[in-house]
Amino acid sequence: MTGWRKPLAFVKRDLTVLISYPMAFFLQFFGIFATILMFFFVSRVFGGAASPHLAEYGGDYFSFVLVGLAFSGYMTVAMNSFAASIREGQMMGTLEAMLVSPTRLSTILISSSLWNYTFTSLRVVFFFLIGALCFGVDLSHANLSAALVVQGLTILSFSALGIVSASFIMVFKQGNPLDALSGVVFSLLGGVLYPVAVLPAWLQPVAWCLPLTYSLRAMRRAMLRGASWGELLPDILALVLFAAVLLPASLYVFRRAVRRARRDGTLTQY
Amino acid sequence: MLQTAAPGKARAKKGGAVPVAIVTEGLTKRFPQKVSLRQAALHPFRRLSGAPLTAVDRVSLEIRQGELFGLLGPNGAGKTTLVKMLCTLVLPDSGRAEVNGFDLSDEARVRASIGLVSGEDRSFYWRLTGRQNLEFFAALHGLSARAAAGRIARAAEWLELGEFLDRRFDRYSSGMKQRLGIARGLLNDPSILFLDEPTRSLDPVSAAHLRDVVKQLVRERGHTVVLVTHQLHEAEDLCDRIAIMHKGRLRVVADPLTLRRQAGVRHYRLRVRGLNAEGAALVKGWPGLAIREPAGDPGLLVLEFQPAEGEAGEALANLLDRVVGAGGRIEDVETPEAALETAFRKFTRDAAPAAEAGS
Repeated sequence: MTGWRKPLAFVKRDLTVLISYPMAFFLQFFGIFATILMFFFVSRVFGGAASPHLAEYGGDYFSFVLVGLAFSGYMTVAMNSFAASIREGQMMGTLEAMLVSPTRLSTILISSSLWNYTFTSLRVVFFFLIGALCFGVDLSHANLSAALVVQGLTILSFSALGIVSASFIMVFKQGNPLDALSGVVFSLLGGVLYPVAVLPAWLQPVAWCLPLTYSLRAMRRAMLRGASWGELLPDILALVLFAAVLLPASLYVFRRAVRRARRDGTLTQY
Repeated sequence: MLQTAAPGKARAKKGGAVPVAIVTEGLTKRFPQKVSLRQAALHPFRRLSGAPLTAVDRVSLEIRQGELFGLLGPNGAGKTTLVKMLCTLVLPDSGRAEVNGFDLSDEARVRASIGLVSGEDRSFYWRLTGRQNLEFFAALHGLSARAAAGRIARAAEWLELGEFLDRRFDRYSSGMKQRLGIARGLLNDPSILFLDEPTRSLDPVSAAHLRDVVKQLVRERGHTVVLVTHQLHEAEDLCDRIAIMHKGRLRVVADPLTLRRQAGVRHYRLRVRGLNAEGAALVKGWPGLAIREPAGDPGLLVLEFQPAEGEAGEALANLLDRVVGAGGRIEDVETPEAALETAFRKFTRDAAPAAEAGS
């Protein structure tokens, strides 16, 4: 329990702040519903015309895009929340107050993103509930245990990118190049709205260098087709590899960034 | 070479029983200077850097346990950088320091034994109440919910925060924010508290209340306080010893009285009545003397007297004799606050000597 005291304090803090803006809190869920509705109508344009590219995900575009939209939220959180927590702490002056306590900056960084991940997971559940209850998405075959493992690995490998993003903010304060990367490259190549198979052949190898691509493919297979562990193993191994390489590397980069900021006296400047 | 101390215990000063809370030796910090955009554009592939700016220059000092230590200096003197190094927020380039017997590299232990209260009154979560803010920071110090509740209750009672504690922070006045800042600084019951311009944004009444709190922290609760301030009267009123920094160097460390003396300039203000025109003419032209006649109080003369260095006692006695001899009645003799300002000006001149190590 003692080890969780600090992370839980961050979750409680962020939850309290969120609840203090009740309108924004409820509008988020309305936004999810509106997004789902929009893609439901888009999917009706295609009607029953099944695309061969969607066959491995069950053939239904609406179900395909529902998973993509739900899980791309993790990417957004990873790319934004780590850097945002550092920047917000610098601007509000709370980072200095936190750093004077015997709490490591890495603990502050990771704990600051916990609520965002928790909330994103709630959003994912909401996406699936709305999809299943209101729009008839069939999740009856879902391999939930495999989906949870994929979700965990997704969070770990995406977090690595978020930590690198926070390192940029730590040193350069603004102009984070990973922001643009997440907004354009990941959305374009990660397979959120369409399968990677529709990309030009020369672009597809780039897409398979992104953890998002493996994460979405595994999640769609697990949730929509109830794919077995064996079928999901290649994607799971890829995500394990991403996490195993990127996480230590990102923590190393972050440590270097913190050291540089402390050396330059800019740790709490913005 | 710093003597090794038992971790967590302040070191006893050599030859005496006064334990040392903070000791620094040759502590230095240089910040890299940014190069201009033009330079960077003209030499894109050359590693450029301007001459580093020395923010803190070989500072050696000892702060005793239970002392209220003032850090004065003009803007950019290096005070905040020094405090941030002692709080482990900025890495020194050279030299070393011990805080509560812990080397600065032992960051977790240093941080566990200190508190920092900055003049920045925004450094809380505005959508949380004072209590929720304190509970959050208490958790960062590893306090259990029960221990935190106890500490918060005690701090709230002492700082008269009680009725405001469950009010959201964005509804606090500046004075309340500063008191909450002190409550936060005390959550881990630190033996050393750094206060960085705590009265900067406060009205006179709130500032006076905060100064009382600071006095109690040291005199009644036994904390060591390092007070960074621009308010000379505040430093003089509160501090046992004052250090004046200028351009990164420690110029002098002394108690306020000694500081005035070391300034080498004495200044007396005499309030005199009954001095007739003949008497006034007699003292007029006295070396170092200026005479004022305050409006609205006829018959009162204020004599501002600054004797030459080294002859203050004799010169003052001579002047008093002359005034009394001329029929004057001396109502009051004071050494006004300007004296510390004089010391401040003297020690922040560029040619001022640097303080001896460990002054």
